[in-house]
Parts: sequence; C-alpha cells; structure tokens
Amino acid sequence: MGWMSRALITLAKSHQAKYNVVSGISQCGRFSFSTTSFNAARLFTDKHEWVDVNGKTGTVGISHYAQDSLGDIVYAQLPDVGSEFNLHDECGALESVKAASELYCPVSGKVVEKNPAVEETPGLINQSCYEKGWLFKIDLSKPEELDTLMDEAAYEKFLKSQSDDG
Amino acid sequence: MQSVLSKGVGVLLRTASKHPHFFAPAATTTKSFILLETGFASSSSSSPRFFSTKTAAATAKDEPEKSVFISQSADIHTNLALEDWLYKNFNFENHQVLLLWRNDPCVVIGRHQNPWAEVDVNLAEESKLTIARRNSGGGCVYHDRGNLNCTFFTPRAAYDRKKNLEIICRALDRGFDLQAEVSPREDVTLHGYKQISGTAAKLGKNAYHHCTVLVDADLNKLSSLLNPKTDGLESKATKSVKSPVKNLKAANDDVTVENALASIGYEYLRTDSNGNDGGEEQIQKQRGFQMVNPTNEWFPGLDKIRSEFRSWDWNYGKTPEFSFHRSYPVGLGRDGNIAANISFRLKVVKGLIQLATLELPSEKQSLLDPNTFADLSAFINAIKERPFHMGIFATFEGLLFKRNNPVSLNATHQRIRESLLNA
Repeated sequence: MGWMSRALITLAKSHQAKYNVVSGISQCGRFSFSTTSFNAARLFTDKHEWVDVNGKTGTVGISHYAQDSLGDIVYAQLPDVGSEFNLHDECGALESVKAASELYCPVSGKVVEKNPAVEETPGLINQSCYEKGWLFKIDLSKPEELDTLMDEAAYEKFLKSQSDDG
Repeated sequence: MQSVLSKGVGVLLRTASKHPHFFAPAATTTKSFILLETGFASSSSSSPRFFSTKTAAATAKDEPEKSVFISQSADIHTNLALEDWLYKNFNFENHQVLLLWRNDPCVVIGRHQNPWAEVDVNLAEESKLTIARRNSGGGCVYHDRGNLNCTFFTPRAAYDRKKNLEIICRALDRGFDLQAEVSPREDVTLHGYKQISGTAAKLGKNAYHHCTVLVDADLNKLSSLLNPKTDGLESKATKSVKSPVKNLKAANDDVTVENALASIGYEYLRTDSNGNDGGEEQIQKQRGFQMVNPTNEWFPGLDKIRSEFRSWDWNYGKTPEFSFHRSYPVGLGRDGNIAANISFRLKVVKGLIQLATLELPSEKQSLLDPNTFADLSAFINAIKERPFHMGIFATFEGLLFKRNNPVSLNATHQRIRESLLNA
C-alpha cells in the first residue's frame, strides 16, 4: 500500500465547479433574420449543428466540419418523435471510432420526425451531411432563437477563427 | 460552511483510519478544502498546494494544472457515477484530471451496445456478475481488481486520445521496461498485436477518454463471458472488435495494479499539456495525487446518478432496437417427411418485446400437434411488452419439443439428428 501514502489531499464537496457554458472562443457574427424569410438558408450553431427552417419546422443535422472531425459514424442515437427540447439541450448522440459525441438541440421545440435512413445507415451522415444525412425535424417553439445562429458565411468565419486560435 | 467542514473531516478521518499513512488535517483553507498531507512533492519546500480559486482568474492559455484522482470505490456503478459527475460538473479549462479506478468483477458495455450480443448474460447472472452500460462509445470490456481504469478529463478542445495513450506507454517503459505501442485503432498493444488496453470516449462540452489497463485480470473469465451465443440476432448496435489480449504481468512479473497506477499517475503529472515530458520540474507544478471518496456528501447528486447507472432502464432499456429470428425443425422423422421450419421472431424495443411471431407454412401445420400450437401461442402472447431475456428461447424450445426442462438449441439439433439417423 506504499503508493497510497503519496495520495494526499481529498476532494471536498464545495469544489463542485460550476460549468461555464461559454467557451474561451467568442461567438463571431450574430445575424438577424426576419421571421418572414424562413427557408432562406441553413443556419449553424457553434457546436456544429445546422438547422434549415421551412415554415415552423426545422430540419437538423451536423456540419461537414463536424462529420469530418468525428470520423466514420457507426451509430446514430436520435431523439424520439414527440420529445421536447430547449435550446442547447442534449438530444442524442453520434458514435464514431469509439467516441460517443453528444448532439445539442440548435432550437427549442418538439421533435416531429427522425430520419430512419441514418439510423439504418449512420454512414450517410458522413457521405451527405446536408442532404440524406439529416437527423430529425423539429417544430420550433421559439423561432426568435434563430437570430442567435450563424449563416454559412459567418459559420465559415467562425471555423477559421477557431483553427487560428488553436 | 462550518458544518460542511466538520462533516468533511469526519469522512476523511474515517477514510484515513484505513490507511496508516494518512494523518489528520493540518490546516483548512477558506474555501473549505481540507489538506491531509503535503508530502507528495517531497523535494518542495513551498507552501502546501490547496485547492484554490486562483486558477479561475487565469486565462485558458495558461498551462493547466493537473491532478491524479484515485477513487476509493471498487463498485462499477459508483465509479461510473463519479466519472459522470466530474464530466458534468467540473471545469477542466485550467485543471485537468486523470481519474484512476478499479472495480470488482463486472462487464462494462459501450453506450450503444446490446448486452445480449456482447455478454453471456445468463453466465454473468449465474456468477452474480454485474453488467454495466457506460456513457462512452466503443466496445465491451471485462473488469476485475487486476485491471486498472484510467479516465483522462479535458475540455472538449483539448481532447487527444493518442497523447493520453502515449503517457501510458511512456509509464510502462519508464517503470517496467515494457515497450508498448499505440495501435492504429488507438488501443495499446504489447509485442506487436496483443492488446493490453481498450479505449473509449465521451464528447460533449467537456470530454473524457478512458481506457482499461490489463495488469493481472482473469482472462479466462473474460473470454468465457464475452463470447455469447447470438444465433439469429440482428442489430444496429455498436459491435465490439474482438482482439487478443494480454496481461502486463505476463510480460513483466514485477507489475502490479498498485505500481502501474503510481507509474501512470506520475507520468501524467510530468507530462505537459502538449504531451511533452517535463520531468520532475513539471511534477512540482501539479496538484499531485488525491484520494477521492465518491459519496453523495462529497459529490452532491452522486447517489442519483448512481441509481440511474444501476437501473434496468439504463443497462437494458437503452439497448438499440434489435430482433431475433430462430427457426426450428418440426415433424422430423415422421414417415420420412421432409422437415418444415417453424420460425420464431422477436422484435425488441427499449429492452421490451414489442413483437413476437410464430410462422409455419400452412400446408405444414399438421406437423405441429394442436396442444403444442396452443401452448406456443399462449407463450408468445404472454411475453409481449415484457423485458427480453435469453431464457425465452429455452422456454420456447421446451414447449415446442414438449420437454419440461429447457434444452439448448444444440442439444435439440443433436436429438433430431440422431432420430433421423435411426429412422
């Protein structure tokens, strides 16, 4: 038990650090979209999900950058139809090369459909992340949240700022 | 605050009494952290390293400090809960952590795996062995006290499995003159192909990479448990990649779980965040080894997480949808008739049998006597919406072949083969 003598300090409970959601990187570019111009473009989060809104329903997927950094996706755990999420809630997971990566809901709302094709063939997310590889559809409960998302140009800029940072 | 402190001391003293090397608290900080001893950095005369909030003000660009936490529990659910608690509640931006832990014998499956596809569940139940689902991806592993688990916690952006595994390789080289390598699948191998470590990870706002290190585990138990019969199982669940494994002790008799733990812990502390060896000097900058007592008192909410890890809903209910299709010959040997197959199909959703069907071509139905048919129909109605378990097949076969004792499929085939040969 000699090794134990080196183990010295015990953790006390008030060390429960509050997790700080805002990472070190500032979110660049906030764009406003008027509520009448839905279906205009795909919008992105800083967690690399995208949402494409048509009427009150948004289609959700992950970005090319995300699928590329995850590698070969072997399992898609999608939210159940009917489940409700708030903005940034964990709503599923994608498994690739032994890592389970959490999916975050890019908007608040209720899931109305999920993509059975990616459950059957998760590799579709790698092959076609913006088309066949969509994950689920959600009825938006707070469309104003779209204002906090990035359009494609802003997202590209964000990716660049991240890689410069690193 | 005062009550927290005294409670904490009580816990620590109880802990300390088991280990004569500990001594009573010498000082407490204003943040209510308790120092048990400062002797880890024996050459250092600097003031004791308390937990403090100093680093909270530092920028993320600073080199993070490192700690090695050693869990004092050997209960798989408690350790998984501790790991999850740290992942959800800790800020690793300025303080990275390696958690080292061991378990009593158990089997741990990946987040998206099917326990019946990976583990001989009946054997596990007979041997009173826990099957636990973890939160990370990847495949199935066997744990016992001869296996060391290492969890490397970082912010998501600093997640780097290869760097962590290289720490393990360097520790084995420095401590035991064992030259291990990181395989292309990011596992650790010894002597070319024998795997001594399996890796998995969980990525969210924080990240952890954890891996097993086989020191002196019961490899026979491992292989008997992790090779279940799965005929007829269809599933999209993550499948384990089977690899030949080896214990470190077989390569160097000096290795024990205790000294492997110390070696890996030290190597972690002497490695900077870029993965470079910083030697003794680097160790001085770190917070050292810390015993962690995973109780709800120290980690508020831990009990709730643990009860989720213990629940059927988590371990079995989270199984990705799967189906079983088995067929059995009926009417064999009767007037030299060609056999017909009766098909037994199950669809299992969230661990519950959603659909159970029986199929036999209509022109062959005379091969099955009406009583058997009635028994089987009643059986498949009774199991609907019930939790799936492998015993269902034995019961089904028992009813089909009018046996009171459950028979295995192989025995059934054997019996049929014999009756054909004798006909």
